[in-house]
Amino acid sequence: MNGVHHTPPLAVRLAWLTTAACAAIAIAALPATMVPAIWRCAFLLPGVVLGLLPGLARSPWWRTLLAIVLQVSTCALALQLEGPVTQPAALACTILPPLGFATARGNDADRSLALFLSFCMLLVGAILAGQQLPWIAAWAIAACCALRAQSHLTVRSAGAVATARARVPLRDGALAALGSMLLGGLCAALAVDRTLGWLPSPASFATSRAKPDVTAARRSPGLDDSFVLDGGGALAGLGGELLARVRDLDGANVPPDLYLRSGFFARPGMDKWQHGSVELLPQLAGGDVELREPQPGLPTTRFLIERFAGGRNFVFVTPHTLSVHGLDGLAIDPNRLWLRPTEATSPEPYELRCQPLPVLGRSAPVAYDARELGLLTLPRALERERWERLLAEWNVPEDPFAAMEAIAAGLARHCRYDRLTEPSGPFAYEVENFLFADGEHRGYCMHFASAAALLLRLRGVPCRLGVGLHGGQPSDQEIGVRVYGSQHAHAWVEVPFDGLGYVVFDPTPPSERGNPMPARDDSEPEATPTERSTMQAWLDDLREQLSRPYVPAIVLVLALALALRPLRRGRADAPAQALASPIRRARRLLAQLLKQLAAAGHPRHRGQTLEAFARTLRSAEVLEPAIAAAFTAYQDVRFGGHEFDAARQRALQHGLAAATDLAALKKSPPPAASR
Amino acid sequence: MPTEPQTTTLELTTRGRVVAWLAALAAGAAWLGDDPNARLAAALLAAPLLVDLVLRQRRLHATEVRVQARRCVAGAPFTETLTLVHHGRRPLHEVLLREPRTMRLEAPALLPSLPPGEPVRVEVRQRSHQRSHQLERAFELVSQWPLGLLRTRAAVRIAADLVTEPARVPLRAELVRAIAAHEQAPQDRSQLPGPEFHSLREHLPEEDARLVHALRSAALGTLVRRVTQGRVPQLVGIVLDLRRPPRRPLNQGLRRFEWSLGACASLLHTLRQHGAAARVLVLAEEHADLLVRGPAQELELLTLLAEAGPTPHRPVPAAQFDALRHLEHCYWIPAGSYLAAPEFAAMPGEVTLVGGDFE
Repeated sequence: MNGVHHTPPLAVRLAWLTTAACAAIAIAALPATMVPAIWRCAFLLPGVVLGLLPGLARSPWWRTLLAIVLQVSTCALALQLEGPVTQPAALACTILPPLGFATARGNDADRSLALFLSFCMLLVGAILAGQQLPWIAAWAIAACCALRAQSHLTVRSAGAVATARARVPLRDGALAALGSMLLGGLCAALAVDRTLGWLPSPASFATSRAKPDVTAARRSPGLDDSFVLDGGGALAGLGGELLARVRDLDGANVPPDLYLRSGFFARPGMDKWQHGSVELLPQLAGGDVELREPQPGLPTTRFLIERFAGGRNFVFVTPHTLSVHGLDGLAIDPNRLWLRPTEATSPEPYELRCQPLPVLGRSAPVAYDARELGLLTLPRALERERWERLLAEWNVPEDPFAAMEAIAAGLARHCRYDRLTEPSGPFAYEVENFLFADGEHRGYCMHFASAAALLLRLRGVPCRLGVGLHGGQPSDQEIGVRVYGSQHAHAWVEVPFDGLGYVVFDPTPPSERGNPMPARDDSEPEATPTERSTMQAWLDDLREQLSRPYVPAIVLVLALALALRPLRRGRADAPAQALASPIRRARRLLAQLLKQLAAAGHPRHRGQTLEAFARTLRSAEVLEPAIAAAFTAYQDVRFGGHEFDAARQRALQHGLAAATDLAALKKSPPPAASR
Repeated sequence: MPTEPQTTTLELTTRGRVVAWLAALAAGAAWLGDDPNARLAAALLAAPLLVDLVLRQRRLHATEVRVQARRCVAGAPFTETLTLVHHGRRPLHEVLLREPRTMRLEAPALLPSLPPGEPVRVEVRQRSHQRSHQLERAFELVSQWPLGLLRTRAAVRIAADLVTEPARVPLRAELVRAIAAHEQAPQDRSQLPGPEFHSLREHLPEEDARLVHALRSAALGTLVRRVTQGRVPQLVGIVLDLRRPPRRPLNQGLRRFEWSLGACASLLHTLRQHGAAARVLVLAEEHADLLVRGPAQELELLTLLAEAGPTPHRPVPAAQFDALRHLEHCYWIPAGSYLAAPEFAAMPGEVTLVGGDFE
């Protein structure tokens, strides 16, 4: 007996466990804010159910229908309970059903598929929430163990254990080998990552050629990472997903020029503004947040704000908010009028009470004590002389209101609003290119706000940058309600006034305010006026072509097809050559003849030669001459090397006819002769 | 048995190929786009390949395989005992051992561990399908340890003797009885001590009562009589004609050829079971004349049959048949499909054709 040929259940269980661990780690690495647990369960559950219970539907069509019904039901339930998710999160969740199915079913091929899908899931989590090293390391360790277990299972299935012992005990050094595999895997991953990062990339080459003065990475003015609203997760590129819905609780229409501030930036930089120092205090338990006293005689507006997806990371307030109701666990900076949610803050809708400001007169006092808040500091890299010259050119006085007017007018005259173009030029910083480079000064709200804030501070007017949502669009389902998405992200300037809080000064041209920003596109921006070398142009074109979505898909399909093409076997192992077609024809006729003989009650037994079968038929006195001739003709062709010519074909056909007659005779015997 | 060292080759498994392609794509994307996530993907995909490359099984070819000489019948399974000794520095893990020639349909033997210098005894089930006499046996050692992305393979060739005898074929009973005497008394009582007992059957009233077996009748309670058959002659001739008919190619009629060799082996075995000896004349390029009296000669003939192949037609001198002329009975086996051999027609005495109904 050739050893023990069975797959031990422990090995099977281990392989399944490690694969399931990879899947679990990859799913857990998804950002909870973007893909809540309910949505993960909604996408996973149908696949898991179908994987664990294959007998639910035998037919593939019924199985498909059941899968669709389950998936739609769970998604509808999740939508009801949790609300919508962002578009990228929804796209990412499409991996979950096959991952759940493959992991739950756990067949041989499923394990590899589940491991690959968990890898894709991990990458998606890294794209959505950034690279989180603990999760990645945990997945790498689990994947290494899964590969080891699957390899062991494959070998155990392929071969029979041929040694005396049926069990395969752990040998000395097996644990050490596993440890070295894990450690080696982590080190290898790190080494590959670092090596690829060190290699000069065409992308960095193209970027560095565009800015010869800049040796560091590209510097963008304004906000950190270009509209990242202090919570991680880039809003740019998430085109169109819902962040907030605002409703007037008194039934009025929500004004289209409502500014919903989510954060601010007070510490200036030529390339990056930062929060600056904040003094956060915990919210008192059970209480509402009162930000300022209401002005007597002025109406109070109540807004109900619902937040979705990434919007749950912020608390949106209007610049003239009086109080916030319905939230708890907030961190509050009363001096800066900033509310920040914590882990204890629920994602429920909250009520905002605000009072529209009266028209400010020129005598409205600016809160100059805001110096303590750092609202007058200037970046060290600012070249005052150039900026002062611009202020002089625009006749910007020191009076706050006049300064704001002059700056707004100057920006409107001097610059052009362009949502897609970023300023470029010989200066190291984009804000300087925006104001001082030759040619058209194109930029968007971020550039306008940053420039305006620096100019105001140069004139001694304290201000800060406010960021959030502005404009929005009317809701399709309810009248008077406005919805805001990431395309409505906006930046403006806020100037503190005594007793009034922060008043909005929006330097963006009025015609451009409130228009949705298109989704951030990774494609190349419009061609800059600077000349490009042939090499750079070629590299730029190559990058553009490779960034098309279908190109990686085509390449991946080709790669998989090449990888999975069947191996070529050596000549020595090649199977016997196929029968020539004439022999195949002869064999087909013979098969039909034998079938008819079997129908006539004379089957040919397995392994019986034609000669022996002919003897059997002869002894049963049913061997027609035509049938004998057909046998002879076949043997001549098959073994005698003769051609399957017309004569032999006729012989086989005549034999077939004779056998058919025999079969017919068997089915309906002739009637007995009557007297 | 000396071991001829071979090299160990390395190849990607199907899974390894897919992973390698994906890693290459991801690395290319990471380099072109300077994307950190693509770098992460490339790193995670390339890491297990690197681990497998570093920890792979080395020096598989430094494994010595020892095996005894073996005789087997074509198509019949047998259990082979091998002794493996690995002469590398590190132990081998999860090695699959296979002899492609004899384990085509059998699962390879899995060796969980092969420590260096320690002989490991392995029993594998094998089956040699093709009649042959092999002087060299090739064993294949394959391992995918540890992660199954890379496969190391080595072929170990050793000098060994493997004789695959022709497959035995069932012969018709009348073929043997054709040369046996009838149930009556033998012609030459001096040589044959009497008819050979065959079986018992019930005694019929009209038959001669002298053939009733008294003891068995008393035991059974009814009259039974012996049935005898003629005893097989002491020496029977067999002519095995390996020649092809004139102007016929050698690569035809192979099915009859194999059957005929198996029939010769079966016939010889049957005759030896009946206590007869056989004078076998093999008509081939070099004619062979063997007198098979004992097991050693039988093995010699079977080895000759294992090595036999169709030969082109050539006439045989009449003197070649001298040893068979005085024999009462001969068998003629036209292995090469040469049914119209003039030598067959010229054979004296009673000649029984074996395999004539193939035609």
